Amino acid sequence: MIYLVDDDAAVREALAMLLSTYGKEVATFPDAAHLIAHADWTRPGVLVLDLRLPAVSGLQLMTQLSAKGISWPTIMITGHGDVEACRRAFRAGVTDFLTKPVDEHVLMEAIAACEVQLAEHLAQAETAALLKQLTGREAEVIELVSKGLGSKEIAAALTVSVRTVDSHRANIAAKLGTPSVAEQTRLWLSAHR
Amino acid sequence: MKMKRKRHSVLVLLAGLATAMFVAALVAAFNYRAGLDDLNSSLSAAGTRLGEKLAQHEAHLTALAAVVRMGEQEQTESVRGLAEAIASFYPRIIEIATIHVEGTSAVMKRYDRPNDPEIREQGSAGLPVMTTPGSTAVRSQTDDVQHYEIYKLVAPGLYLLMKIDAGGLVADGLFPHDYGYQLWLGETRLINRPLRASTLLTATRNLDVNSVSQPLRLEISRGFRATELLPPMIVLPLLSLLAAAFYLLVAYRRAVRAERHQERRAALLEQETKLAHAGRVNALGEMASGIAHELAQPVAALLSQSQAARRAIALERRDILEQALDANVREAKRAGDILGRMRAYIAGGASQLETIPLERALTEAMRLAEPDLARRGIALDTVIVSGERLVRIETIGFQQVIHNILRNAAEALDGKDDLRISIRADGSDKQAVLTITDNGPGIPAAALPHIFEPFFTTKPEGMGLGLPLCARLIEKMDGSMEAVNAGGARFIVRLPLETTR
Repeated sequence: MIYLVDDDAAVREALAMLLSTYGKEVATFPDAAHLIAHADWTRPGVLVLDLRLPAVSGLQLMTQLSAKGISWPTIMITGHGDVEACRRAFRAGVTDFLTKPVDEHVLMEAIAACEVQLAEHLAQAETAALLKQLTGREAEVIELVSKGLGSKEIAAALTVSVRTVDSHRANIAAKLGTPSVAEQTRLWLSAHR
Repeated sequence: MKMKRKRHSVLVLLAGLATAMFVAALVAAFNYRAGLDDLNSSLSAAGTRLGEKLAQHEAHLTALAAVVRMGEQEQTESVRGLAEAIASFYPRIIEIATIHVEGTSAVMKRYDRPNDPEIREQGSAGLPVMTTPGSTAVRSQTDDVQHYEIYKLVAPGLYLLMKIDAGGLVADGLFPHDYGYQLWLGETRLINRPLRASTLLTATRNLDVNSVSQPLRLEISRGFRATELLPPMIVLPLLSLLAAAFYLLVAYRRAVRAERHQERRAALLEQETKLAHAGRVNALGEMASGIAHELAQPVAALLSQSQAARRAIALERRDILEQALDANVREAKRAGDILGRMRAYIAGGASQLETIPLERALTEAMRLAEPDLARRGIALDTVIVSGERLVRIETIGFQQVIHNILRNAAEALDGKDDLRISIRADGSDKQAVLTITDNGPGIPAAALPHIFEPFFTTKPEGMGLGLPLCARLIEKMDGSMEAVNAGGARFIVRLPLETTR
């Protein structure tokens, strides 16, 4: 899903047309207010913003969105390719900064990069949701599991019985949806790097 | 400005009049002073001569007294001889007599005539009382004011009498003929000759004549006629000289002012040229940035659409292909329009000024905009205050300006009820004034000072070149353009009127 904001209708339509030939789903908005009011916030996607928008600039829009907890990958497009604006955009966290007119391949590469970022972001969010189900004790157990300790060593470290540790590990396997120690370790480490 | 100049020239005229009056007063004062000096010197000269005459009377009396006193018997013959001689030589001495007093009666003998002494008896009561021999007394006569009498006591009971015609004292050209004079003895006025001609001013001086026996007082006066105070021979050349000097001064001032005006104009022109140059340099930078930004949009669209079209061929999506090509045509035209406006702004168009009636120029310009306004449902209210007014304009440019103003107004009115634009053509004998007013929301106060600056725009799709271009076009026609808020937005275009075809 791509959310495109540009005040120039022609540019908006042209980009939407090009993206649609790549099978992308595109929602277009003339300004920040329309985006905030009408975007489907339940469907995370890539933001393509014009830097110079009426009323609220692309950078200000990013700040407003992150205040709402939305930090989707963003591509900033501008008619003026000035260095200062570029620097500020990257500091604000854009994935890419492109100047108009935007070449198809450059745009598609940037979008692809954003989609990868978005996928990672979504996976991370999913993992975080799974790990959030674990209790405090279970988290202690899985941390020691990820360090390569066996049940006996864990029981010793936590001064509990081996049976208790095994019971925790069964719960962890059920909550994370996998009995594989390797998979559990990967999930834990991806969230606690 | 005109009013100020008028008041200024009135002031200058008043100053000139005041100066003329001052000079005239100066001349008059000078002549008056000179006249007074004449009067004073006449008076002192007359006083001296009068004193001499009075001294003669004393001398004669002394001589007569000496003769009268000689011997017991009065020497009638000697007295008569002397008296006759005196009387014939001094016509003003009209009587010489002796008076003998015995008790209350007095006998007067007159000696100034060649025949026998005339003897007259009279009372002694009327005689002045005198005790010291040799002393004198003087008396005016009540019945005959021009004469006065001198009594000298020769011996107790014997008086000498001399009667003087005061007229004879002053008759012989003692003063200039136009002087008036009075001769007084105590409170009695012996002689009064007033000023003859009526005059503008008079001056009077008096003098006590230096004589112990005859305390006369002389008063003389003279008048000043206007021509004496302000002799035309002096005043007229002086005034013409003054007028000439005044004229020269005014001419000089005018020349100086004209020169200063010229200098200021030149300085202003130079400043304007510099400013215009700076403006062009600045505008060029702004323009480069503006071109980049404005063209970026359609070019961006063109690129994306063209690439979409190529992909549509691969995807065999004819619908997308057609849509992309349509959009390409539209965006290429848009880019062309931007370049056209740019070119028009830079060059200001090839200016081909022509002289046409204002009414026709306006009608033609409005005809271009009328269909669009009608489509938008905007009522056009046109008042042309007629009179054959000719303006020198570049027709295409003028039409562009009117069209631009009307289009701005139409866009401002978008989405309102009761849409109205009023156009009024009016003006003085020097310039035509076009006023175009809409009933929209007006120009935002913050934007008003900037709307004629290049690349300033309040429209999302605007480029900010429309009004600056209009202003430049009108300036090329020696006119001016301004914007104000009057209900809605009001644009005022002023164009100089041509007087000849």
